[in-house]
Amino acid sequence: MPMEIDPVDILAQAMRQHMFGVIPDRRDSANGDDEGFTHHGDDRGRKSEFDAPSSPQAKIWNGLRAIGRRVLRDAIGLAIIVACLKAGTTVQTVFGEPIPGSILGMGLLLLLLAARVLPEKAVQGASADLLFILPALFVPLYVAPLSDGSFWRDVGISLLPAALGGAVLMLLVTGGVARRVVRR
Amino acid sequence: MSFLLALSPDVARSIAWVGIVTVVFFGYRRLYLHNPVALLHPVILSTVTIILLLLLTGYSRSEFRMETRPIVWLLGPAVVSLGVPVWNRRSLIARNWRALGVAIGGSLVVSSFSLLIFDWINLDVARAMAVRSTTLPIALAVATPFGTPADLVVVATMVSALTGLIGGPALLAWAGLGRGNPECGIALGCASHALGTTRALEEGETAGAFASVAMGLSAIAYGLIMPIILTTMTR
Repeated sequence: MPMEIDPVDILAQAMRQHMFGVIPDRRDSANGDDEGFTHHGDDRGRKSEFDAPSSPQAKIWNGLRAIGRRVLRDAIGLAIIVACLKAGTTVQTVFGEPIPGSILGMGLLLLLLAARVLPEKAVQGASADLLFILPALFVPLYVAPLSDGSFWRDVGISLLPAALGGAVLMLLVTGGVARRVVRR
Repeated sequence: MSFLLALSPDVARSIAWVGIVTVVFFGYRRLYLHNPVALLHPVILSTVTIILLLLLTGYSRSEFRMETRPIVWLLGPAVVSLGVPVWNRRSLIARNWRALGVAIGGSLVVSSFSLLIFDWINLDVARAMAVRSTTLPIALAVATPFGTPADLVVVATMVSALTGLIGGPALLAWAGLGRGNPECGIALGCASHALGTTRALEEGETAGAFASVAMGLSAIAYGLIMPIILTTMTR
């Protein structure tokens, strides 16, 4: 099996030695990655890299290590995603494109994935985490107009029934046309 | 908390707001996981809670806007990361490209009609209505360069999202489109974007997968095509 240099492992080993003075036996397993991570509060499909922890210290260590891995994985993924976004916004400002920079950034990310320049694993975790928190990001944006009385007096109140009717129409039209051609 | 005092007051208040929004949202999310009633969705309860907090404390809305900018900034990376589920489900897209294509095309047609109709009443409202069926960061990025007030865009997209979240599956079932199937997922992803997708995921894996690709592809379609529609189709 080829030796892979994993910065997380090196850091982990050093910290383990420092904290506990022991190095738990590493199980020779190919399932050490973070694939199959779900956001429902469990770690199904993820196998421990170690044998069943014998001491509470080892348990704590395993937990910390999992957190550290995830933080590092997300930080790298987020850096790549932000780099794509920056490239997109730069193109938008330089060329005066009407297309939003974030869409151009998404296009660049898709291009990098399609060209196999970027491994899927590099951005999968960060993307899943960003999309997981996405609804929370709307809260501050929703708060501002909703708490503004003058907005409601001016236009808000007439917009409400229009937007509601529009949403119902949109749901029925998109669902209806998709039903006609959907493949079963 | 003492470390907050060492920072500039603006940064400290920003960090405090990020903390409040996070704690409130994920607190309500725990509640929602035990009681999955759409009206108790964490987005709705957190928004109401923070509005009450602002009104009761008399906190300035413009300062709140400024201080929550770090949260809003994350919407940009979130849009870029929408590309990942689209990439992961490329075989599903390849198999269902016609259904996804006609649905997104239909969505653009309905939005263009809204633009034409509301253009006779109020151009700003018309533009907000035209972008209501794509995810909020894209809707804002497309409509605000045309001078549309951000608040109008936020409210139009929010109503679209909440309609799908609260009544979407029931409405689609009433219309005879069934529940938890691909077309329901596509409709929720197209019309109600992120919140519709979370609702579709609750309806089932299939609907959730279709909703997330419909939302991602519709964001791309609106980002590419809507600016052209907005420039050409108004009076």
